Amino acid sequence: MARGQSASLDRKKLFSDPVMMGTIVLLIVFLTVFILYPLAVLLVDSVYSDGKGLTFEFFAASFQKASFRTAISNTLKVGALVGFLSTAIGLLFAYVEVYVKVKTRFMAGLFKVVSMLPVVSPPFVLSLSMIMLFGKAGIITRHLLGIYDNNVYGFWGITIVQTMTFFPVCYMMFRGLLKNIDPSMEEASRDMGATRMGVFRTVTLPLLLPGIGNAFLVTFIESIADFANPMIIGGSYDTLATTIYLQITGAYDKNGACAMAVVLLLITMIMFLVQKFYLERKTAATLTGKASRARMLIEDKSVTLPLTILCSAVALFVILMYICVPFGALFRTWGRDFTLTFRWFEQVFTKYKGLKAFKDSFILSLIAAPITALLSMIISYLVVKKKFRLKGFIEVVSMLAMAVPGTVLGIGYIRGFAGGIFRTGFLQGLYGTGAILVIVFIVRSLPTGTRSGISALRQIDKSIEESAYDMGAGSLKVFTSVTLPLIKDSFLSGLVTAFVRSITAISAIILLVTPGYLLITVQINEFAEKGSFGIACAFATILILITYGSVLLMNFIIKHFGTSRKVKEVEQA
Amino acid sequence: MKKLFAVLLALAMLLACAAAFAEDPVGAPADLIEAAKADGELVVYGSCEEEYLAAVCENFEKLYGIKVTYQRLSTGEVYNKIEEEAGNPSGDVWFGGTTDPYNMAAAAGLLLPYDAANASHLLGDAYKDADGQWYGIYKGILGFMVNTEELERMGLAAPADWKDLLKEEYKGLIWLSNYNTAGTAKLVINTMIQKYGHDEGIQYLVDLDKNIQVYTKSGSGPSKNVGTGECVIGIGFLHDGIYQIVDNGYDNIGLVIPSTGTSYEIGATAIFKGAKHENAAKLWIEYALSPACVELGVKNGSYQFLVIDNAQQPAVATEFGLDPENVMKYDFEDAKQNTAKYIEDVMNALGGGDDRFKTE
Repeated sequence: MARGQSASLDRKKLFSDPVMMGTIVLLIVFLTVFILYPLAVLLVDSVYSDGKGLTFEFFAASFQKASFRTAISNTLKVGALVGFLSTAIGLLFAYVEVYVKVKTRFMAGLFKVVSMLPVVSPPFVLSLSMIMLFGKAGIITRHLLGIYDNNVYGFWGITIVQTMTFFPVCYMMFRGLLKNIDPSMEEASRDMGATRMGVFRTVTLPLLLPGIGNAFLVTFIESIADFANPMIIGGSYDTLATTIYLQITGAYDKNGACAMAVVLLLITMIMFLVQKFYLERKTAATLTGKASRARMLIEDKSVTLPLTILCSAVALFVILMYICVPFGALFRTWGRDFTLTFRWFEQVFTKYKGLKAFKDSFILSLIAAPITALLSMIISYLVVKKKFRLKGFIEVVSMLAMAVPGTVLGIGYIRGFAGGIFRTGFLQGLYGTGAILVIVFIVRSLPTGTRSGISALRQIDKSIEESAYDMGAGSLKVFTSVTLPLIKDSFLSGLVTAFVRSITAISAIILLVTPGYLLITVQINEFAEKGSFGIACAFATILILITYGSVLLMNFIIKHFGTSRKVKEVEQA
Repeated sequence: MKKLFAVLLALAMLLACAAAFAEDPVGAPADLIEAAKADGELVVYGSCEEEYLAAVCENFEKLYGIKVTYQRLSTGEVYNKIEEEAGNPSGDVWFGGTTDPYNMAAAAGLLLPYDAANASHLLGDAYKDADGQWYGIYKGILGFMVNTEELERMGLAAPADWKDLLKEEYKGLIWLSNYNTAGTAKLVINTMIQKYGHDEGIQYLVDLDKNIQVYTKSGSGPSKNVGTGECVIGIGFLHDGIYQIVDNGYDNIGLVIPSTGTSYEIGATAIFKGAKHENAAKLWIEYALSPACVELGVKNGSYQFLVIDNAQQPAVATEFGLDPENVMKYDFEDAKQNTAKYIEDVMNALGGGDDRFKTE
C-alpha cells in the first residue's frame, strides 16, 4: 500500500516536471535511433537473408569453424588479463597520486605525464612502438640485446599494448573516486589502531569495490572490442573484432559477420549484467555533504618506496614507448638509417593534406566532446538519482554502444542510414555528413562518460539534492546548481576524455567516413598498415601534441575552477 | 567599331577553345569536358597507394578545375561501402586495386558501364571488362622479395623459382598473405593451379605451407616486413618491394622474378552506378586511361607497369629486372569463376588449416 503510494507520488512528481520529461523523451529518441536501431539492423541480418528467409544457419556456420571458437577463447583470455592488469595498474597510480607523498615534484610530474600519455594517443601507436622497440628488428631486441628472433606478434603483444593503452582510463576513474572518499573515515579506523594495510583492506577497498568492478568491466569490454591493436600486432592471433572485420572485408560475408557480432555482443552483455546486478548492491554513499578536509598523505618509507619503484618501472616503460614515436618520425629509415630528417613532417603537410586532416578531426571532436560530456552527466544523473519506468532502458542502451566493436557499429550505421531509416529515405541527408561522424563519436564515448558519471554520483548522498528540492528548486536548477558542481571534476574529465576518444577514434569511422572529411587517425592507420612508419609517426606525433595540449588545459582549468583541489590548496597554503 | 570588337571577341573565343582542345592532354571529347566542368565536382575512392591517389586527384583538379575529394580505402572496404549504399553511392569513381572486387561489383550491378574513347590505347582486351564496367590502369608482377642480409647471415641462397620455396632450408622463413583475406594470396592459388594443374597445384601449396611462418591479413603484408627483417622471404607484388627499396630506403631487399614465369594482377578504375557527378566520372575514366594520369605513378611510389600504349613504362621497374611481357598467360575468366572453390579445396587439403589460418 505504502509502496504503491510512493510510486504514484514519484510518478506525479515526474509528470509535473516538464524539463525532466522533455529530457527523458529526447534521450530515449536519441538512444533508440542512434544505438538501438543500427544494432537491430545487424541483429536482423544475422538471422535473415533475402534468399533464405529466417534462418540460424549463419550462427551454425560460424560455430562450426574452429577458427571462430579459437577467436572467442583468445578474446576472452586477452580481455580478462588486460582487464585485471589495467585495473591493478590504474589503481596503483591513482592511489599513489591521491594518498602517497611522493618524494620530489619531478616524480609527481612524471607520474602525471606518463599516466596521461596513453589516453591521448591513438590506440595503434603503441603497437607501432612495440614493434619498433621489441620486434625482430627492434631497437632494444636487436640493436641492444642482439636478439634476432623475438616475436612480438600475438597474445603477449596484444596484452601489453592494450594494458598500456587502457590503464590510464582506470587511473582517471579511480582518481575521481579516491578524491571523493572522505579522509575522516580512514582516519577514524587508523585512530582505532588499524594498520595501513588494514585500512586499505577494510575501508578504502570496500568503498572502491563498485569502482573496481566498473574499471575491470570497462577495460575488459574495451579490450574485446579493440580492433586497431590486434590488427597491427596480433599477427595470426585473431580476436573476435578482427575476425568480424575480416569476415566482412575479406570474405565479403556480411551475414556471418553479423552473427559473429551478435555472439560478441552477447558476451559483453553478460559482463554488463553481472556488473549491474552483483556489484551495484554493494555501493555506499561516502560524500555526506559535511565539509571535507585535506587528506594526510602517507610518508611511511615502507609504503612509499615500493609503490614509487613500481610506478617508476611502469612509467619508464610507457615513456620509452612514446619517445619512440617522435623519433620514428625523425629517422630516415627505422632500424637501418638513423640520420635525422624532417622530410616525413614536411610530407605530412605538403603531400598528404596534413592541415586539412588536423582541422577536420579537431573541429568534429570539438563539437562532439561537450555534447557527450553533458549527455553522459544527464544520463548518469537520471540513472542514479531518479526513479522512472524507462530508467533501465536508458542505462542499458547507453552502455550498449561500448559492447559493440567499432567496425560493426560502422556497418550498422551504413546499413541503417545510407538509404534513410528502414530505407525509407527519412534522415538520409544525415549520411555522409560531418553530423553522422559527430554522432558516432558521441555514441562511442558515451559509455565511458556515463560509467564515470554514475560512479561519481553514487558517492553523493541523496539528501544534499533533496534539501534543494525541499526549498523549491526545479530539477534543472538542482542539476545545474547542486549536482553538476559536485561532480565538476568528473564532468571536465569526461569532456576531455570524449574529445580525446573522438579525435583518436578509428574503427567505427573507417567505413563511415566519406572523402569530404579527412581524419588524422584514418591517415595514420593507412600509413602504419603499409609500413611507412616515418609518416605514420609524424602524424601521430602531431596528434599526440594536440591531445596532450588539451589535457593539460583541462588540468589547468580543474586546478583553478574545480572543486576538490581548491579545498586542499587553501588548507595547504 | 562595336561590330569589329564582337568579331574579334568571337575569334578570340574560338582560338581559346581550339587551344584548350589542342592542349587537353587526356584527349577527351570536348563536349564531355564541358559537361564534366558543369558537374564541377568529383568524389574518388582509391584503393591504390595514398601517394599516387593524391597526385592523380590533384592533377585532375588542376587540368579541369573540377574539385576532387578523395579517400583511400582497401578494395574490401570500398566494395562493402558501395554495396551498403545500394545505388546511392557516396563516391563517383573507384581508382586502383585488383580486379576481383571490381568483377564482384560488376556482377552485383554496382558499376556503370561506359564506353571510353581512350580504351583504344589499351594494350589488350584483358585489360578491360567486356561491358566496359571497369578499365585496367596498371599491371603488377607477382614474385618474391628477400632480405639479402638475413640470407647472408644464415648462409642461404635466394630462391630462384616457385619450386625452390619448398626446400627444407627455408622452413619458417617464408611469409605469404592469407588465402581467406588477401587478393594476392588468391592470385597465388590460381597461379599455381593454372601452372601445375589442379591437383599438383594444390599439392604444391600444401608443401609450401610447411615452410611458411606467417600468413598476413593484407596482400602487401610480407613486402613491408622484409626490409625490417621480420620476414626473410616474402611472396607478393614486386612493385611493393620496389617501393620499400626506393622510397623507404631498405636497400637490403632483393627482388626475385620466378624463373619459370609468374602471373600478375590488373589494377582497375570504374564508375559507380548512381554517381552524382556522372560526366565528371566519365571524364575521369578517359583521364585514367591517359599518360597524364598513369605516368604520375612512378613519381609517387607506385611502380606498376602501365597498360596503355602511349604511356612510358616506369624505368625503375625495368632497372630492377622486371619485364611486363615476361609473364605466364593468366586465365582471368577461370579465376573469376572458380576462385571460391579453389580456396575451399586448398583449405581442405591443408586439413582446415592450423593456427596460422585463424581467419577462415
